[in-house]
Amino acid sequence: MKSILFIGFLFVFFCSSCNKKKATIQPAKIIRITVDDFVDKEIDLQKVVRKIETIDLSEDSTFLLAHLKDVTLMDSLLFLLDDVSATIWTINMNTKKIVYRVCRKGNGPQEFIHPIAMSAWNGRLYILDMPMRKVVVLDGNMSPLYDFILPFTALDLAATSSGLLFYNMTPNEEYGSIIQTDFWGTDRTNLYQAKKELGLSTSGQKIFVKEAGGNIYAMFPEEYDIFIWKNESFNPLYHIDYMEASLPDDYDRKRHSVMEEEDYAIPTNLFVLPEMLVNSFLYKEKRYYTFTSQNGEKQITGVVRDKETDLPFYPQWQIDNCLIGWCSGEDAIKYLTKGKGLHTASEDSDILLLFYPEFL
Amino acid sequence: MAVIAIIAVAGVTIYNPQGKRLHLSGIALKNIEALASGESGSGYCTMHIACFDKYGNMNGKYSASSYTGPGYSGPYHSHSCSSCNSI
Repeated sequence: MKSILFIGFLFVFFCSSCNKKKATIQPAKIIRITVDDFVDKEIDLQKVVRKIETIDLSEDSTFLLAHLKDVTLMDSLLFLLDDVSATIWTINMNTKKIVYRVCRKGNGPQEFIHPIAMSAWNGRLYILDMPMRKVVVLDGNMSPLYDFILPFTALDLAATSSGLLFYNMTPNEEYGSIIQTDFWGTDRTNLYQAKKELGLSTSGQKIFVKEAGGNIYAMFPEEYDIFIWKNESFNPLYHIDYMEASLPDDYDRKRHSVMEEEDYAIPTNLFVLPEMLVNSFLYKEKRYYTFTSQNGEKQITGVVRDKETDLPFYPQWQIDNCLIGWCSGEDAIKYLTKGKGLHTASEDSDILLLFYPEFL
Repeated sequence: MAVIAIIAVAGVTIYNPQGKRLHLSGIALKNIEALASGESGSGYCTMHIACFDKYGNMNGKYSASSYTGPGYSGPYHSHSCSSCNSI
């Protein structure tokens, strides 16, 4: 009789502990954005950005940035990835000067064909070459260390303390949408399977976002859920509900190009700041931004414009609490000549723009 | 044949989002294709990535990148931001 009671006690204890584990997973907070609240509305850049810094990338006119694809920070070094020329630029953030420019195009050891993402951790730079399914590892001085081939095609990666996170654009039964590996691409773990497959086209947005506190967030391409990486797994944190402008659940991404849709809000970039969430989306050929306080009490949405100088506000990357974009010297000249920037620049130059948001 | 030869020598001119003109010769394009196809002799799948203007609005152009994988049978298709009939 005692043994039966003891087994019963163990059963009740086991069930209650299971329930406790389930209870720790919080449901995603819902951020609602309604069309009537934002369509054709403009937000003055000065209202949402408290400071802008500029870095002139064209001190040496023989080198041009063809297309900035990714940005990452290692200590005081900022790395820029040009995917067209397969070149990595290194900028010393203390002096705001270019330190190195290294081109590693090719299919030899530690070379890449079309690098599309990079991430830094612990003095090492991890560069993802999409067509070659290769990760090239360099040190902070751009010296090659090693490389490895992935068994899946990844669109983004994030280096963390416990290994590398990959977004697999062709998930199957063996490899899910988010895969964690060690720093050599082995010891693979499936962390998450996305509900929807990638379609015919995509915005090319960053999937993984690192914020200043070290947290990593993920937003899958053209989807409305935001996840946080916690306890070695991805947990839902926010769901952005565009109401009647949301893509229908049964939308067929294999038959239609989601990027060509005008009647739906297509999410693109995500930025997570200590007190604020910033997300951008496309709707009827315009790019809108929503600024939402972390407690959800304050929110503004609209097209962000610098009415004074028309400086383009199109950040695509986040480094700590700074949003990063780039533009030509010609587009920044009005802003720079107003004495607001740190440098002056020629019209042919490239300018890196560092936006520091104003909290709501 | 003459047309192909002219393209091979002349190559293509592309424009980055800042409007700067970049030139890839036909030989350079062939090199990129050859390098990317070094891993596998099978077909490809292609992802088109939208291109945006300086304000982040779509400009109707796409870049394309091909990758290999099991069961893929499509042709190699890779280009920088340009108008593309494949999309």
